[in-house]
Amino acid sequence: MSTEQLLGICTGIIFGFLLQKARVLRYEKQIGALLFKDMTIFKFMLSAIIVGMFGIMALVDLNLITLSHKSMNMGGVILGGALFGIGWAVMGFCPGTSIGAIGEGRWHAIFGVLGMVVGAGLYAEMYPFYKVTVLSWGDFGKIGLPEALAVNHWVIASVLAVLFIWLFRMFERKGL
Amino acid sequence: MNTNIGSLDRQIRILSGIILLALPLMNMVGPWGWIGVPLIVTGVYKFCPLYSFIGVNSCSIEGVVKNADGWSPYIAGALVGVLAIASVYLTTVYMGKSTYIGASTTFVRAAGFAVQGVDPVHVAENAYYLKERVKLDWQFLLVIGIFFGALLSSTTDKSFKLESVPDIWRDQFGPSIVYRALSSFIGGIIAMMGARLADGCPSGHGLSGMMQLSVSSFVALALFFGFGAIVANLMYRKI
Repeated sequence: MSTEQLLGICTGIIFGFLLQKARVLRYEKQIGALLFKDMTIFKFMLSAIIVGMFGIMALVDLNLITLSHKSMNMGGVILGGALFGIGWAVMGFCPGTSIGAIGEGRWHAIFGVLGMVVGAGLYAEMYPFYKVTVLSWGDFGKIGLPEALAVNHWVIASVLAVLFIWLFRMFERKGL
Repeated sequence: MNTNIGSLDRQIRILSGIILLALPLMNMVGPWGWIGVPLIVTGVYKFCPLYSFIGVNSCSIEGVVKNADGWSPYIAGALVGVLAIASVYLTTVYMGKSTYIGASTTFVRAAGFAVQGVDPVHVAENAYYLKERVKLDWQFLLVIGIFFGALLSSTTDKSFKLESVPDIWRDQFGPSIVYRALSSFIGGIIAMMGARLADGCPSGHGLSGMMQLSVSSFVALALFFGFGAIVANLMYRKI
């Protein structure tokens, strides 16, 4: 196993362990989040984002890592985002959690995994078509919010952190 | 003033606070180490204003392990944040390129491997497989790792459970595994088409993209949850 693969599997094992400990791998939690009845997934994701964004910004400022934005392709992100949302609710898992769900015994997620492999294969076949249609509708490139708004990244991150913590307070008060 | 910090939390705060404070005093890091001061102060007084604002505490096992039988999602989430930072740094050092956690590209590679078994020439000529490169890369192993991590965690805390149909699905759509399997499969196809068009899933966009403050990730995540909420509400409306 190469260093790259070893690093990947170790990161994955810790990631899967924490996903399972937070109990976010379950169908009930995924659907609960989409019905806004169980905010566990929001608490988990937003906590990870708060810690992660400050750490990543610090490492970027120290020139130790570089950012890797995904392109703001209008057609791709908007149509893709909508399609993903629909499929997510129907399947009841997202790509990462489906694999973890099988790990904790929820084996019906395997049908979702098979569907996603088929979906990826279909996408690969349709890619030339998407490239000249949906994906050519306009691309703002690999941009971050700080450049788009011309505001310092630490300011944006701080505002987001305050907003997320205020959301946590709301979730706890409503017992969600 | 009520205390809201438990003994383990208190020890971690005071210890890490002292370490953080010692670093700038020894000129090892810049002013970063001063964030140790609030850690020590809150630790000594056993009171954290942030906990108080949100309405959580770490006094009892219930405060930390509140989430049924697992860990608090705040703590597990924050640890995923630490993992994300460490993994970007380590991939930069050992692979020469800052690589962020994601999952959906792996499904393209899995499809590529499957098609390769039947028609290797087709995979070698397909523009998308060429773009994403069909190989057992860092992310592929990460996705495999998620399975083992979840298996390890669930079997050691007895939360592993063989489930063919989730309870809430059974209440709404009946006990048939066929309907659950079909919905899971079709949902999977739609979701992966979407994830590939948007170039990410709740891991790549939701976690990694948001952490980098990517514009595309804010838009994608809003649409994931927005359309997901519409469909989930249609599926689970009270009849």
